[in-house]
Amino acid sequence: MTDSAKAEPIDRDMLEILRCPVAVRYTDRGSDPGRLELVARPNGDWWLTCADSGCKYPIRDGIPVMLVEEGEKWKATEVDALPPIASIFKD
Amino acid sequence: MTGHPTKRLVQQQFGKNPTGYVTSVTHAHGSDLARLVELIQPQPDWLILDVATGGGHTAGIFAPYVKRVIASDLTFSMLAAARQHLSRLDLRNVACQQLDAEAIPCRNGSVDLVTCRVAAHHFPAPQQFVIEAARVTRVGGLVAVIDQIVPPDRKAARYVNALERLRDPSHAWAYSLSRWMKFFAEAGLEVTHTESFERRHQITEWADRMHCTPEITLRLRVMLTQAPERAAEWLRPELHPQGDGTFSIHQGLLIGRKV
Repeated sequence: MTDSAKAEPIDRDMLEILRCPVAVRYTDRGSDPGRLELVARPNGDWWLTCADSGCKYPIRDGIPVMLVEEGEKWKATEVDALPPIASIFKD
Repeated sequence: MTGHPTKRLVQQQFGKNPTGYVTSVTHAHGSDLARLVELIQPQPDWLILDVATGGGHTAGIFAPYVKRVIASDLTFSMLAAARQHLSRLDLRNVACQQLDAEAIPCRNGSVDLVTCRVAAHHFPAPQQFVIEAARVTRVGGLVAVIDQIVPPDRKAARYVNALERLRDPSHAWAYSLSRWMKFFAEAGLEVTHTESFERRHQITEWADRMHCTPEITLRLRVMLTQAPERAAEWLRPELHPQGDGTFSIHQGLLIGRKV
């Protein structure tokens, strides 16, 4: 099975509702700011990335971690350079 | 971990024993759960966001009635325990998200009902939570909150909050029912229903649930013994000279419709 063929942890209906908690408040990015894109990494990780804010949210064990602090932590990191999610969370 | 000191305390406190909140009789079987469903009358096409789901009990009781529920919490291990609990109930329409109640990651007007049960007293800025809840709720949709409430008298409110915080350092502040109604109104929510209920607690059992030391339990007992008149009228302590005692905690239930 290729990475892109792995089951997505979030369905399309949920993606229609989920927004970046930072960018959703923007007033200069149109009527629906903070849309998220589901991104698969070659190691099997999934992230939600926001083009409006640059924030990136890891999906940990199938649960999106939608905390502002977490998303902002990876703003300056390119998607290709994101660390393995298992290495982020030690607790 | 989140940056705000109270939020860090919440994550530490609830992360210590997440399954305890799944099995807790108080959290799992409160009569307020059934009352909430009765008052709300959830519809089959609804999407519900349950904020600070804890053991997942509110999400679980609503799930059979609606299309989908998002069970959310600030604490990851709490969510993992809730997910396991909901999976055992074979509730397949519940999704989990880790989020901060004061910065909800949802599109404006995308949710039919936001619920939050017995958690808001942990929020550093509950008025911000209400604003966020109103933002993500569709026009005509509902926001329902159940939380500890304190008496309107300011000194008595401070005393009750000090008692709670001595027992649980992650307790931020409990507000009066009238203050909650103000939060709702300021967020554009028309309050359609309020009620309050009183619950008696045994002091030792109540303290033990938060793993209080014997010294803290003694101080709680002393605070209840020495409560000033207005606080005592609210807490209604009945203390046994040689042993335990009981007192009251009050909870308020508010439902608001987004206008």
